[in-house]
Amino acid sequence: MATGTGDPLVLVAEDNEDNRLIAATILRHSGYRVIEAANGHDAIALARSEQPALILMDIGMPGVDGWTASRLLKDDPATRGIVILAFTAHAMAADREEARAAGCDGYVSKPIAPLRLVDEVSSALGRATTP
Amino acid sequence: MTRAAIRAAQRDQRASPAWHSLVLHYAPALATPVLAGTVAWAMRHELDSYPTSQFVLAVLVSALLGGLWPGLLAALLSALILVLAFIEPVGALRMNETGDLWRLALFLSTGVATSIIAHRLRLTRQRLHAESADFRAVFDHAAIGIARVAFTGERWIDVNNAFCRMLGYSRHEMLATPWTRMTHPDDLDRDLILFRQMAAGVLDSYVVEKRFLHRDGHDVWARLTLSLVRGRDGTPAYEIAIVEDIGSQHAAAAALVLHADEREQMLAAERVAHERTERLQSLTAALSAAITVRDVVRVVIDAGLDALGADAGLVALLDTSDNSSLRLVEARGYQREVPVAWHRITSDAPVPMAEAVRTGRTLVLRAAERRDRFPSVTAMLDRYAVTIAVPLRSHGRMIGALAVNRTKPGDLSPESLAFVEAFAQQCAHAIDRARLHEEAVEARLIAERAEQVRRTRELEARALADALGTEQAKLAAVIEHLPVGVGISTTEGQILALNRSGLDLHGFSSEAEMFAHLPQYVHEFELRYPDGGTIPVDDWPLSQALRGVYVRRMELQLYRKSTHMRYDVSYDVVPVRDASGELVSLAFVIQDLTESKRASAALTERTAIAERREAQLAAVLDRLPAAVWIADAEGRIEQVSAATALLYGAAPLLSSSLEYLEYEAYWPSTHRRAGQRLASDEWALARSLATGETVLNEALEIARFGGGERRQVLNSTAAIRGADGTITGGVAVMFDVTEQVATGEALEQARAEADAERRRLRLVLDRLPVGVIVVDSTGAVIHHNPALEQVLGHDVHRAEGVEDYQAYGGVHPDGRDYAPEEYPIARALLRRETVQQELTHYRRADGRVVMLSISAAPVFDDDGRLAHAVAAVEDVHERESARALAEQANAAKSQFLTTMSHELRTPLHAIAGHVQLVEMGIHGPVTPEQLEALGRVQRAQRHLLSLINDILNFARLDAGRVEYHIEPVALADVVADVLPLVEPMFASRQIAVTVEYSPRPSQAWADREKLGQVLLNLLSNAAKFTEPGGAVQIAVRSVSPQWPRTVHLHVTDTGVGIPEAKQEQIFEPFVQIARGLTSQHEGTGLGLSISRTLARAMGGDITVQSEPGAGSVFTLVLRATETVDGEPLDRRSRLVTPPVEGARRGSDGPAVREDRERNGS
Repeated sequence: MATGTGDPLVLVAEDNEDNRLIAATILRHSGYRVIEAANGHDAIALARSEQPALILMDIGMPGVDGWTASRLLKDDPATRGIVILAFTAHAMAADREEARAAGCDGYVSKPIAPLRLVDEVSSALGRATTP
Repeated sequence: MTRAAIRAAQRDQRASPAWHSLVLHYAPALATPVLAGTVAWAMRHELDSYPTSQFVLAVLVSALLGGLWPGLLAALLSALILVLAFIEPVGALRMNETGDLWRLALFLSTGVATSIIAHRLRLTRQRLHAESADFRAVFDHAAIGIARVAFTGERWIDVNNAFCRMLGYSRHEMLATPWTRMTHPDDLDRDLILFRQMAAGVLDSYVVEKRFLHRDGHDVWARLTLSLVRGRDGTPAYEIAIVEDIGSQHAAAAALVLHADEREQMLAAERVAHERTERLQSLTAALSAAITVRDVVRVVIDAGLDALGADAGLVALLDTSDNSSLRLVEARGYQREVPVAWHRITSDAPVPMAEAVRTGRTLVLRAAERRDRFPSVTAMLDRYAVTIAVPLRSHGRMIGALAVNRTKPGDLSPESLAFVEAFAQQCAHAIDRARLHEEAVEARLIAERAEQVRRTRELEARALADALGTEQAKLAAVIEHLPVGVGISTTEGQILALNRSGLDLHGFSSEAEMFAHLPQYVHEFELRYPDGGTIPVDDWPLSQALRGVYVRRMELQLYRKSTHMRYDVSYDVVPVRDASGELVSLAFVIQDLTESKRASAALTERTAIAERREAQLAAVLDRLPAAVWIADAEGRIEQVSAATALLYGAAPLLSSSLEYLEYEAYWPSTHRRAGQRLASDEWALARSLATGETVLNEALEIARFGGGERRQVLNSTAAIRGADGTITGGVAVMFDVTEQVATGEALEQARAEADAERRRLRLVLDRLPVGVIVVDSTGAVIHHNPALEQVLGHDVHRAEGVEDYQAYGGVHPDGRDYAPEEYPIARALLRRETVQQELTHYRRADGRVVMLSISAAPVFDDDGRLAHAVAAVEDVHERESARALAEQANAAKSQFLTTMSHELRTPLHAIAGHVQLVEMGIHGPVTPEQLEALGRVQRAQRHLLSLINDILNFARLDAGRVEYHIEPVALADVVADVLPLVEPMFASRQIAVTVEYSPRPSQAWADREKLGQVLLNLLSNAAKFTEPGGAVQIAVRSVSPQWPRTVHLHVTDTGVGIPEAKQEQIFEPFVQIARGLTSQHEGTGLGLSISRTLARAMGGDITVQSEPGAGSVFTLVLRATETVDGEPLDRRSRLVTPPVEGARRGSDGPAVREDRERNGS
């Protein structure tokens, strides 16, 4: 499915290539523009330069982890407006709390269920699901 | 004396000279005139002058000699002779001549006058004589004693009858005996002084009261009034003594003065003697009731202070290990602390007791002497006026000393001291007896304990070595094959696992068989006390452990009703706690005691032999047909055989205080065969004691008591020596010659064997590689072996009681010191607890903290009273370090599992994701064949994922990594949570699901998440194994009257059912894996196993009731939070596995399907 420049830009920050590829593919297919980062450092740099509408932030990345990256972006007025969804395998109540504390706007649990991912992203962006 | 008697005596005096008086007086009256006549006739020529004068002379002589009548007779005779002879023929007399007539008249008148004068003289003489007789009679018969005493020769000059009677001698004996010998020796000196003063003329008279000695020996009190009689020249001639018998008067006076006192004293003495007898009797009774040395000593002190009139006292015993130091056993009444031990009694004797023990003699010390001789005890004893230290000796062996102190000197008479010694003797025997008994018991227990410790350690070491291997399976295998039963139970007492030995002990061939029986455990098995009484379920080891009781080596009988099989076992229960300290399960160890019982029986037998030997010695003395004497080192006879009385004709005197020298008189006269009498110090026994010589068969002759019948005996004696070679006593054996001699040696041998037995037992204790400490019932240390000092790294503090344990170095992990009562041995003593290998940090003297494993146990005497506690102490520092390493390894393993979990799942998730992308057509159109292939990939992926999940879950459970958050959980909520997850499965198979709640939907104690997991598993199973169109019922039944503490959740299906033989197998892990992955049903087969593990860990269980074809009922049992009446229940409330209620409900379900096993392919 083709994407136009008016479509929302989504940053998928995930160190696992498979997960990153699957999430990006589904989102592109669902009408989003997707950029990718493989670690927290790149994610912060891309967020600042590209100003995506939403970041799908893996928590367990090497280097700067997802919590730290989220906190940095939310503390920065320039990037505070970006919606961040924590992308986590630890779907525990404690993780959810931590995600909130770090400034995340929501979370998506792994493993990736394609339809649910699209639902979460679109509802976070206040958009109707585009199949 | 009467007047008549005096007259009679006077008559006697007068009558006595009658005959010789007649001859004397009348013979001259006749003879002299005749003689004068004859002379005159012969000389007739001179008649005119001579005859007259001759006649006058004759008359005169006769009158003078014979008195009146002889004088007259002589005059008449003279006249007649004159007339007849001289008138004719001579004619000389001329009657007519005046001269002749005058001459005749002259000598007649002269004769008459002379006769009258002579008569008067004679009368005077007679009167004087009569007066003298009267006086003599008065002298002799006076009522008081009169004597004349010469100044030379100390003899009586004269004594009267009264005096003779007074002293019981005859007059003759009196006069023959010096008065000094009749005078009481005590009065003699004073008498002699006075006597000499009087003899010197210094004194003229004096009065003295003195004692004479009566002839029969008794004293005669007399008052003497002595007067000096001087001679003409004024020099002292003799003295006159007037003697009054004042004996009765004196006695009466003395009696008046002394009566009250004497009577009082006599009564008091009688009372004292009576009391002493009573005290000795009651002491004997009390002593025979006391078993342990400490008990005995306590009785001794209690009774002793009272009986001996003392205010403080103590008993110290010789340390039997070195025989040279005294150790305090019990002290009473001292205001100051009494030292615990006095060392080296033989070198310097710093205290009276040590001196008493060293010399073997009783010491009586007044304060001054005590200060001089024993300055070291002055501070402690200064308040006491008298100290008496008595050696305690039993069977000739010194065992210690008794010391008593009196604030007032009290009675120190020989009788009183003899009583003290008799008292000590009793005590010594009792203490010795108790000590023998105690040592036997102690040694037996220690050996037994050591054996157990050794065995347990062996097992542990083996298990530990294996556990250190990397394979956990190996550990499981070790546990499985341990020779002791090992099992795990839930906190509800539900057995989760049991190893092979445990199964064997229960008579099960497999765990499955056991689990099949478990619901009926209480009906199938009985636990009994070792004596056979049934143990109520509430007191079963697991029940006790759940109540927080440390169950250690609880011995009981395991009895299986159906087979009547019975095992003697011991139970140990170890609580297993998770990281938060929550009790999650109980591990228990069952040990078969058959072997150890046999070993202990053997030990008991050996002790019995030693005791039998003691008894044999007593019996020998009782029945030996020979006289046997056993004396102590001083020769005091302590024991004699019964036959002695037969040989001697009477029981010989036994005395604790007399040495044989002193009671020689009580022995029969003993002679050599030759007839020479033996002095006491020549007796063979005396020689044996003095020189140690052994005398064999000395031939003697004794004279029996009563009658003096002679007996020929062979006397053998020997010295008894202590361990250090000093002579501690002697034994004498006397045979009638007809008897044989061997008994002496037999006695020695029996004694030696008993000693050797005790030494062996002590040796065992001292050589044990485990530190052993023994305390008495008050906690005072009474023994420890050398190994203990090695373990502790320094000398062992000899605690006097539990409170002294403060000095030991036990520390809690947080660095707090142990309180005295926290020490295992104190718990054994105070709480009768048996502590098994408890790990304790211990701070050694060098500051190093080591890890000790301490086992402790109370020791009861035959009457079941607590007598001792014993503890075994091992240094397990290295072992514990190894264990910590193992735990680290375990933690690493858990970390590994977590990592694996992530690493394995990630690629699987990737597979699923990519397949979904393809399936969604994102990568291009998909053909139906491709879609089907993708479906297979997805199923395989799900299968593999669930396998990995199950295995990781199981491994986590197995590693104990799962944490539980137990809280009250409403079952309805959990059902509501889980049902939506499985509803699609039920829907796809057209299975009807119904849910039913009991009237009082109750809450259960559970971990909500784990409970959901269990329920999900049960429901997915129900969905999987129920044929399409079937029905599944979920029923939550709350507390029921039968099982008031539980909540049941039943999942009833109408599936294929499970044959009974497999109903337990399905709970075993990997049951499905064994069938391979081609099963029509997904899953590892770990689901039920995990579910049951979770359920049990939450204090519940899962059971199943099923009939093939009729469906199954899986019941999840959980602990309720309240009773059916709404009473709150503690989460630890006891749970007994219930028979599954509603089990038959399954058969009420839809019709039975084909006869196909539910789990079959």
